[in-house]
Amino acid sequence: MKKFLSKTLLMVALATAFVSCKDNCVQTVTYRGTESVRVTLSELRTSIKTLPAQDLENPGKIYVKDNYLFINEVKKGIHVIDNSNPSSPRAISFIPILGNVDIAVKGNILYADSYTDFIALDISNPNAVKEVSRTNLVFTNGQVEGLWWNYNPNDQTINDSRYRMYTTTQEVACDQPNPQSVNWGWGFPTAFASFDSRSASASPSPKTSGVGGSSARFAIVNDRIYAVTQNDMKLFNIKSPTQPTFESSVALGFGIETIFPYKEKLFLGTTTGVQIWDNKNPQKPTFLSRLEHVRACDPVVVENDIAYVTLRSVDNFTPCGVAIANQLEVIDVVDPASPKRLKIYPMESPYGLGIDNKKLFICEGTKGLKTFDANNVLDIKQLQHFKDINAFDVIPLNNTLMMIGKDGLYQYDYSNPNSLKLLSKIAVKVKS
Amino acid sequence: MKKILTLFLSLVCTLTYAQEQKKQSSFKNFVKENYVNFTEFGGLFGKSYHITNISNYNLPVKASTNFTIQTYNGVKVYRNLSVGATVGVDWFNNYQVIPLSLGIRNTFGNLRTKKVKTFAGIDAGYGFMWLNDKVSDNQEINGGLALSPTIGLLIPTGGNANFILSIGYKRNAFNTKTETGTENNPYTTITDYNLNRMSVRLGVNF
Repeated sequence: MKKFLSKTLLMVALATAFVSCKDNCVQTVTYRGTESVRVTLSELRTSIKTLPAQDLENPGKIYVKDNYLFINEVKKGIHVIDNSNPSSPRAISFIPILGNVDIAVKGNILYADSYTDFIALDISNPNAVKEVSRTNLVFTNGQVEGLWWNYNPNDQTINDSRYRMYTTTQEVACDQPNPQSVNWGWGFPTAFASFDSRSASASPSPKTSGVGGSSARFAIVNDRIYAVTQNDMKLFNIKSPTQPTFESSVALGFGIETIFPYKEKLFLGTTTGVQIWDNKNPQKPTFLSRLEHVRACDPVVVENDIAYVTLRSVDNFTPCGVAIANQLEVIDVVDPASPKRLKIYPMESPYGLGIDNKKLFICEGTKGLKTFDANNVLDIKQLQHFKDINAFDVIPLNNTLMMIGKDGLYQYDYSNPNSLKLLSKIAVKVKS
Repeated sequence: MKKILTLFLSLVCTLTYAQEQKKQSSFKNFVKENYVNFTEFGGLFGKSYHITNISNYNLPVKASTNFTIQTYNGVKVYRNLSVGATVGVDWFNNYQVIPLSLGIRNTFGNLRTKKVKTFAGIDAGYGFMWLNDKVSDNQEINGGLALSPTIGLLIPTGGNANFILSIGYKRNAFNTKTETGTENNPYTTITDYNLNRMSVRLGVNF
């Protein structure tokens, strides 16, 4: 009996100990937010030098000039690639340029933006690039990969921000009714992340200049560079290539994304539609017409009086907030004063596009690259779909398709449009 | 003499029969001698902070009681020590766990006495989340460690079986992972559940 009692006592003691058992539930949230970055003008203006070739980390737009391929490293600088043999491209050097996004080349001079400044670099020796000119404070704000920067003249700094992954951990109730997304009120990440897509196609610029993107913000037409910002167009005269002079600024509205010169016209892709400007007088482009569409990101390319526009629904946290439009629009621009929409084709999430001799290439972001036969614009047929790559920008030129994606630069031989042949790949360095 | 012969014959017969019987049922006997079963049901008692948001961290502690069943099936390996496997179900408020464990049980004292005996055991394994429906496609529910040491009393029923009255500690761990947000703006929520409970169970053992 005594033994039984002691056992019972032991159990009671244990029970008392166990009564203090407490559930512990911890919630870890990982999300992409932004943090602010400040760049002073003195930091900005001491950055130009030439470094040995570096790995691609976050590639942006691409630009081709003769045998050279320029790949922008978003807001960091420019990779110079010797592409005389597309099967084995060779990285030559890296030019660090703070805040650089756009590139244009004419002759031996490379024009680039550097946050507020417009600079010209002599690249005749890509291993020793020299700054030949700098136009200060032409641009006052901009938007790159969904993040805005602006210049504050009071303290002479550029206020920018960058993406950062945040991780927060906290104890939560174990009996939450639903583990779905809960806004804990620690600041929701930035809603927009529309990649400032730069697709490309053979631009009909003079031979002396290179080939950029259909949706590049820089376009060279004869002796002028047209650089579009979010709301205007800056004209630079480059008659004397090493001494570009800022001529004028043309107000455009808002949400301007891309510029594509075609014949004597300038095609501007905006978030609300395509604008066509007459460029007969290169010093003073005049507004011709506008074709509205739903709000979306839209690069535009033109060939044989047919404009191809891709619309991508803006990546937003509230799916219903922004119209869902992922499509390719084919627009007849024979009469640029009154463009006519011919047909709409559904797409998945189109970024950049390129066209060369009725061969249409469309980047679908994480969904890969698609090739189309556009011989009959009313019946564009899909030929191939490369699914396992990330694609946001293409330049089709002389049967070599240069395609940039978040995972690297791919080059394809498209002499047989039914079967593209992969020539080479420069992979993005995977961050460990 | 006749009496003795009858007795002798009947003895031989009985022995032979018994031997036959023994041969036939040696497996049965083995099972009878060595198979151990503990089947129990009961409650898991604990408490947790009732946190509704970050600014109200100090809300009262809320008690939780949940139902549990389990069955242990084992084989004696040494004296009264058996080794086996335990499967059960724990119904928590939002999730149900199926712990699949390896376990041991040891009964203290002589099994054949009709006195109350004590036993101790431990189960360690993995809690599966098969009973849970996903809230959405972008959610995954992963199981985790299940640990359950117990001690208890075996109260003889009169036959070969015992009633069980046990208390112990039960730990169930699992997590949910939810991907909201978009391709460019990932938003991942991982919730780790560590449920520490006291278990009180009733059952039968044979």
